[in-house]
Amino acid sequence: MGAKIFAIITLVMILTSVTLNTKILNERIDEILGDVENHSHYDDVLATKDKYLKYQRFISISVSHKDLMNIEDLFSEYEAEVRLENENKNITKSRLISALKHLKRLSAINIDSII
Amino acid sequence: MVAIVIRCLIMYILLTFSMRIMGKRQIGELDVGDLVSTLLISELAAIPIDDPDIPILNAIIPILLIISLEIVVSTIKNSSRFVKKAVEGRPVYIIYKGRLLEEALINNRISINELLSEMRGQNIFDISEVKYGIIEQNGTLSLFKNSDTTFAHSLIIDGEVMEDAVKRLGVEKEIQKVMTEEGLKDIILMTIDDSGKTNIIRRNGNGG
Repeated sequence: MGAKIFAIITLVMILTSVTLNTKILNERIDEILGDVENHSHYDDVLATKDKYLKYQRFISISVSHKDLMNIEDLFSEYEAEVRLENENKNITKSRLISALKHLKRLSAINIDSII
Repeated sequence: MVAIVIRCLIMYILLTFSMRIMGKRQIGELDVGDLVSTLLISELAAIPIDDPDIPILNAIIPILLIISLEIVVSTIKNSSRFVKKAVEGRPVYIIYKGRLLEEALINNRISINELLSEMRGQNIFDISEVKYGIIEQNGTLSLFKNSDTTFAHSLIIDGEVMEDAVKRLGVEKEIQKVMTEEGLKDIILMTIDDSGKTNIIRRNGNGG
């Protein structure tokens, strides 16, 4: 009887927490994506990067560390290029947006993430 | 490296807990569901130990999910004959009253050599010594020799009539009588041996 109760509780908890995790993760990524797309100053970039690093602990619960490192690297690259007013900053911004969108797609409940 | 060691410890504790909670069957003879879940769990457990980049929850959550599903499916199997049959199958006679059932061997993809090998593993070196041979749900072979004392054929299991056995033994009238007089609901097991003696075990320990 104990095992059955454990099984049912575990199933419900897993389904609930995974659904919640997906929902919150998507909200966080959307927030960061919105900030990156609207960047105009160096301070904006710094603020968004700090926000990302703050959310990273939660994001890292279910996302591969390689993907997270990739995004962190892109943030650092973008930060440097904005500071130096480098002409490649828009390309890096575009790569960062793509990486965040990719992360969002894989974290959501859809065919892409399942396949 | 410390992270890998800690992950390894966590997975070890989780696996021990998994085997314990899923029951002794996982350690002994495995049926289909047990085998699938054991294989999956062992593969999943290795992933975060092998690749530190993968979050450990990517293994823990699927393992807990499999444990829970295994327990839920086992519970459903015990209350649904259809699910039980679909998941586990049924034991199959391959030798009946000393006669080798070729069709059963072919349907279960067992060659004569494999059968003889299994027999030798049970110290039987002459097929004519075997009265009954049954392939169990977990794939093992049970052999009953001519020299063994009694063999009881199951006619009713958990309220369900074993149609094949009833037809084979020609005991339709006896079953009809039981169904008419007391119904099937309360019968856990009804058997008949080769001398025609029946044994009925009812729910709440009432035998006869």
